[in-house]
Amino acid sequence: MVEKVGPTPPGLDPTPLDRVIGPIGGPAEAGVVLSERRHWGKLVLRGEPDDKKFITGATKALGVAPPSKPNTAATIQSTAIIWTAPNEWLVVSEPGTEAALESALESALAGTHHAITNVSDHSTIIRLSGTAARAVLAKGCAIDLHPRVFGVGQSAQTNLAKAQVIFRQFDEMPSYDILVRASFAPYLWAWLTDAGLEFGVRVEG
Amino acid sequence: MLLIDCPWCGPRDDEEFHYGGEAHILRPRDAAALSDEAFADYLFMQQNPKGPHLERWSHNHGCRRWFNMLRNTATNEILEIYPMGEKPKTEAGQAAYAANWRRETAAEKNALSGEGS
Amino acid sequence: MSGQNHRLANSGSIDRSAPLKFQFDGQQYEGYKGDTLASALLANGVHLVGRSFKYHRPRGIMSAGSEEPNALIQLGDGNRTDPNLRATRIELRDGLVAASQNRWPCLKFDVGSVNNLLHRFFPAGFYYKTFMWPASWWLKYEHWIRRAAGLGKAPQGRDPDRYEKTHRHCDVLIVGGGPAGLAAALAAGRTGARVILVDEGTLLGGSLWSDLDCTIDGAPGLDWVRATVAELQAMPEVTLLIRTTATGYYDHNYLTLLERITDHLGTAPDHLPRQRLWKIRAKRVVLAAGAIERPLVFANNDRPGIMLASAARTYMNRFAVTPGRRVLVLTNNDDAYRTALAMHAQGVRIAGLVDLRAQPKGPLVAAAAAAGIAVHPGQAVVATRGALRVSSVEIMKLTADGAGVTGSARKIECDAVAMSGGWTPTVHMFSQSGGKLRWSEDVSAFVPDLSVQAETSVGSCNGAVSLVKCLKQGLKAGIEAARATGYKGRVTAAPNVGEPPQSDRRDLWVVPGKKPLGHAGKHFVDFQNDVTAADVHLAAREGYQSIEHLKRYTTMGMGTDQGKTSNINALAIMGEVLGANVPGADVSRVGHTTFRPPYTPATIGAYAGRNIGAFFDPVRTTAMDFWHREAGAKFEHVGQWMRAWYYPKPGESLRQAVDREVKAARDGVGILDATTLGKIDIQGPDAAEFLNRVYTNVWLKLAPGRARYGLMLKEDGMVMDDGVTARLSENRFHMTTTTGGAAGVLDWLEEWRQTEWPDLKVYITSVTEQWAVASICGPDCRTLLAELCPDIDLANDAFPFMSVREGTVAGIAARVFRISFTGELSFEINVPRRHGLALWQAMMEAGEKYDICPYGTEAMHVLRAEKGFIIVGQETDGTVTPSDLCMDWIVSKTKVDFVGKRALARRDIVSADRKRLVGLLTEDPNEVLPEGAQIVEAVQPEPPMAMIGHVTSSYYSPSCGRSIAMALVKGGPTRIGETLSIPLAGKTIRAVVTEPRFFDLDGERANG
Repeated sequence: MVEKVGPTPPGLDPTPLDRVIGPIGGPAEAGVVLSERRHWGKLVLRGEPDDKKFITGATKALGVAPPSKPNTAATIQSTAIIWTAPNEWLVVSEPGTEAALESALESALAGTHHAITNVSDHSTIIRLSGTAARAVLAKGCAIDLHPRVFGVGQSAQTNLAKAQVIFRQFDEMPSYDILVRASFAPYLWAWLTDAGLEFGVRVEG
Repeated sequence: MLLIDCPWCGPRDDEEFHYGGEAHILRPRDAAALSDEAFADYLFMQQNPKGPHLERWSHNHGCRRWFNMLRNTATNEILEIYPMGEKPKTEAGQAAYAANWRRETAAEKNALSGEGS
Repeated sequence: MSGQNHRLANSGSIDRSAPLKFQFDGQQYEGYKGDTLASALLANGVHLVGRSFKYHRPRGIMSAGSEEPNALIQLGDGNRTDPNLRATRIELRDGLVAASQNRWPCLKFDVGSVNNLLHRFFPAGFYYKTFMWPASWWLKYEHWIRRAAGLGKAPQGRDPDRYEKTHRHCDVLIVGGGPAGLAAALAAGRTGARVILVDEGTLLGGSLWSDLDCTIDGAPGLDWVRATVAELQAMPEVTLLIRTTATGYYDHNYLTLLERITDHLGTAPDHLPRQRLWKIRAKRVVLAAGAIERPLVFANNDRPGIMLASAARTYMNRFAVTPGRRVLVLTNNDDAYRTALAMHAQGVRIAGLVDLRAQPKGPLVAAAAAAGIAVHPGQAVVATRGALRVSSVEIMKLTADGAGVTGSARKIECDAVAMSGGWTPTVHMFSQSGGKLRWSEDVSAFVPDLSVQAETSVGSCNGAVSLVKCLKQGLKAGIEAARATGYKGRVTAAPNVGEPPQSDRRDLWVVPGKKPLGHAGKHFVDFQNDVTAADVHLAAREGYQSIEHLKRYTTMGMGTDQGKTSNINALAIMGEVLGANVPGADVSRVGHTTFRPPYTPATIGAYAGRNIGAFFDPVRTTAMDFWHREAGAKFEHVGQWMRAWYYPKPGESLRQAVDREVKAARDGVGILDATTLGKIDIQGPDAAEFLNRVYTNVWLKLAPGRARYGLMLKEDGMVMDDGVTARLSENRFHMTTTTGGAAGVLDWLEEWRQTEWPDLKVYITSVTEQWAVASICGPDCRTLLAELCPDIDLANDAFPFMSVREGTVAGIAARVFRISFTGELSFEINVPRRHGLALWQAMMEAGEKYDICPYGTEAMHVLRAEKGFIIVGQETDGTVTPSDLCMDWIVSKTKVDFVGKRALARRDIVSADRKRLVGLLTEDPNEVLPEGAQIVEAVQPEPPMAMIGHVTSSYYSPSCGRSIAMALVKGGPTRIGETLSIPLAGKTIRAVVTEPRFFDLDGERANG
C-alpha cells in the first residue's frame, strides 16, 4: 500500500488513517464522498435482552432503548446504538463523551449482569456518502443493499472486501458510517477510493 | 456459495460463517470414567452421510452466534435451522437425529448421566 | 481483395454510414459498425480464419455465436493480447487488429499441416499410447508436444487492464435475451419485481434478428423486440445487461455474470474497468439460453465455407452478408429451408438443397419447390472438395435405412455449404444448477427435467421449437417467478405469432460416405479438437465407452468451446456403436458429460478483480508503525501484521543487529512494539470459572491485580494457544493471546461459552486493537519507567512479577503489566491506540540516557529461546501436548475438568515414545542449525534413516556466546547428554542434547 505521509492535524490525537488519507478535496460532482470520523466514542454494551432491569437501566442511561431488532440502529441526537448480537450493542457517541457515558451506564446497570467495554480506539469510522455510495459498497459486500431491503436505520455486521465491518445507513443519499478495525482501516480506505474510481471520489476533512 | 439464513442476521453468504462439525455430540460429564475407545467416539468419530446432516455453524463474521442446521450434503439444500441446545423439529431432522450411530453409545450415556462404560 | 464483395445491397442491422477499418493477419479490410469480426470477414469473402488443433487443417467460420469451434482469433498485441477469442463474438471496431492462430509461417501455408498427412499415426489416445515409455523421457516429450499443440499465445507480462467485481441481488434473473427471455422479463418487470436480464450479445431479441419470416401481432418480430426493450428500459427496477455472459450457476441461486465493458471500444476510458464479474443472488432464475444448431457429420465436413444453416441465415438477415454466391444446403429438417428461402429471396443462388429425409413435406418444402430451388430428397453429401475453401460436393442417394449410399455420385459446384442437423438446447446453466436432464426424442437431445434450485427453463433451451411456444413459456415463467417472490400482477397475454410450421427430422448421426468410416475423408464430430466419428468408434472398440472416458480418451468436448456443437453428435454416435454391441443401449444410456463453469472462456483477470497487489491481502500495522519505518526497521509478516523484525544500523547484517539488540535488552533497556498480541476483555461473575475451564491451570484464586501464564488446549489435548491473563477486578480479566491466534481464540471461547456452558455468566469482547503496547525490558527499565510513571510504585514488593497496575505513563492513562517474555525485568505498557506513538516517542526520548534500544521480533525470539520459552506454532504444530513441552507443571492435577483433560490420559498421549522438547548444543558453537532440520540417531550412507525428531527453534545466542536450539526428540529428556546427528545436504552436524534452557537458569533476572 502506498502510504501518503500526512501528519496528524495540530492538537489532535493520531488516527489510523492520518498517514493514509491523501489531500482533502476532489470533484464537486463526485459520486463518492469519503471522510474519517475521528475518535468517536465506542462502547460495547452487553446484557440480556430479557432482563427488564438491564433494559430499563440501559434505556435510562442512553436516553433510548437499545434496539431489539437485529441489523438496526437506534439513534438519539448524534449517538447511535447499533444492534450487533442478541445481547450486544455498540454505542457510538461524540468524541470524548464515552467516559461519561460509560459511568452513566455502569451506575444505571449496577446489580445487573452486564459488561461495558471501551473500544473507542479498537476501530475507526469511515463515512461513505454520495449517489454511488451503494454501488461502491456492493463491490465488496454480499448483502442486499437495495432500498427495499436496507434503508436508513439499518445496520449490518459483515465483510466489506477483505475487512470485517459494521456499517449503518443514516440518510437517503445514501450515506453510511463504516466501523473498521484500526489496523484494517488503511486497507479499507484504499479499497474504497479504488472502488469509487469510476464514480469520482471527493475526500472531506 | 451457500446462502445461510442466520437466525439473527438473516440470509448471508457462507463465507461469513464457520462450520462447526456434527451437531448433538454431547460432551461426557465424567470423561475419566470412559475407556479410551469410548472417549474416542466422542472426540474423533463423526457422521459423514450423503444426505441430511445435522451440523453446527457459527455466524462468526456477523453476530458470532452458534446455531444448528440440517443440510443435505448431496444437494446443499438447507432443510432446517434451529437453536443451540434444541433438537430438530422437522421430520427429516428427527430422522437424521435418530439414525445417528452415536445415540446410546457409552460416551453419550456418560454425557447424559455421568455413567462410565 | 475487392472490398466487401459479399455484402448485400440492403437489409441487415449494420450501420452502413459508419465504415470501420480493421486488420486480419496483416491485411486491411473494411466492415461496418454492427458487424462482428466474423461477419466483416465474410463480407470480404474471407472464410479461411484458422488451422485446426491437431491436424492443422484449414478451417472457416462455422457459426454466428459463442459455440464457434473454428474461428479462434488472437486479438491485440503486447500484454493486451487475448488468445482464442471467437471471431463470431468480437465486435468490429475501427483499427481492430486480429490474427489467426495455430499456423506457421502463415495461414495459407502451414508446416504443421503435415500432421494431416500423417493422420494414421495420430489416432485418438495417441499421446497416451506413444509417450508412456520410457517414463524418464516424458519431460522431453512434453516440451515437444506443448510446442506443437496449443492454440493462441498468452501474454507474457502483467495485464494492464482493470477488472472489477460486484454483488447484486434480484427477485428474478433471466439468462438469455431472446424472445423467451424478453417475454419473461416483460411479465416479471410489469409486477415491479427487481429483474435482471442478461445476454451475451450486443442486441436483445435473439433469433428474431435472423428469423425475419416471423411476425408477432401481425408486425415484424423486430417491432415487438424494440417495443419490449423500450418498455423494459423504462422500468426502474429492471436491469438489462448486454455483452454479458452468465458463466456459472452455483448453490442457492448464486450465479456469476461476466460483463465486457470496454472490449468493444477502441480506446477505453481510464476510469472504467475492462470487465466486471457480477455475483448475483437471485430469488428466482429463468433460463432462456436458447439452442445451438448441430453440424452434420459427413466426409470432410470441415472445409472453410461449410457453416451452420442458421448461422448463414444470421449473416444474411442481421449482417447483410452472404456466405457464398452458390450455396449448397444440407439438412435433416425443415429449418434449413428458411435459410435457403432467405438467400434465394436476396438473389443468392442455391446450388442445391440436399435433404437426408426421403420424403420431406410441409409448407417450407413446398415453398422451396415453388421458388425453383433444386431439392434432392433422400440424398447425402459424400465428399467435399476445395483446398482452402469448399468448391464442390458430391451427393449420392441414401439407402432406405440410411446406413449407406447407393447409385452414382453427382458433383455439385458450390462455394459455401449451409448444414443443419437439428437443435441442441443449451442446458449448461440448468445442469450446473444441479438439475437433472432427460433425453428427449422430440429434439434428439437432453432437455431439463428435474430442477433442484428455484429455477425454470423456458424456450428453446427447454426443447421448445416454435416461436409461439418460446413466448408463451417466457411470459408464464416471468409472472410465476415474480409471484413466487411476493409480487402481484396480471398475466400478460401471449401475442399472435406468424411463423413457418416445421415437421419431422431424420437423425443420421453419421452421414455415410463412399467408403467405410475413416477410409474416405474425415467425418469431424468435434471440430475444435479434431475428433472424428472414426475416433469415437475406435474409443468404443478399445473399451472407452463411458462418456467420461470417451471425452478424456479422444479429447472430445475438451476445447475452449467445451463441445457445444459436438457433444450430442459424439454421444449419439457412441450410443449407436454400443447399440450394435449391447442390447438396449441407446443415446440416453450413454449419458452426458458434466457441464462446468464457465459457460464460455473467461479472463482470469475478471475472477481476480481488484484482489491484486496491495488489495491481495490486507496489511495490518500498529500505531507505532510510522516510527519503525522512520527508524529504518526491516519488517516481517506475522499473519497479516507487519512487525518490525530488526533495526539495522548502517552496514549491519541481520545477525549483527540482532546481537546488538539482544545485548541491549539484557544489559540496559530494550523496547519492543508488542501491540499485535491478541487481547480479550472477559467480564462477568463466572469469568474466573470460565478461565478455569479453558486453561489447564487453576484460576479461581488468582487475586485482583495479579496475572498468570496460561496454556489452552484443544479437546484432543494438543496445545492451541498461550498467553498471560490478568485479573483486573473480581469479575474482569484481561487475556492476551498469540498474535496469530487472536481471532481463533476469541471464536474458541465463544464456542464453548455458547454451546457447552450457556449457563456461565460471562461476556467476551475483543480489545486487541484498543491497546497499543510497548514492552520494555532490561536492568534499567524500572528506572526509565519510574521517570515517566509517577503514580505506580514500581518496587518489587509493591508491584511484583506477574501483576498489573493502572496509572499514567508519559501522561497517558495506561495499564502496566509486569510480565516477561525475555527473562529480564520487564513491563508491558498498554495505552489506547491513539496514544501509542506518543508513548513510544516519550519512552525513546526519556530512554536516550540509558541507550534505550528498540528491538524487533528476531531479537525477541532469541531472548525467549535463551530462556527456553516456547512459541505456539513454532515449538508446537497441533500435535504437541504440555507434557511434550516438558510443561507438566502447568497442568492442574486437582481440577475435575478443563478442555483437553481427558485426552491427556489417552494411551498414545502418555506413551514414553513421544517426541518431547529438549535443547541442542552443536559441537561447533558457531554452527546454527536450520529450523525444521530432521534429527537422527545414526547417520546412514544415504536415506532412508530413522528420524527421531526435528529442530523447532535455532539461533545464535549472544548471551551464551554460541548457537542454541530447541528440538522435539523421541524420548526427550531421557536423552540428555546424548549426541545426535542432523544430516544436511553436504554435511552432518552433531549436537548434544540438553535441557531446553540456556541462560539465567535460576530465573533471577526477572526480579531486576
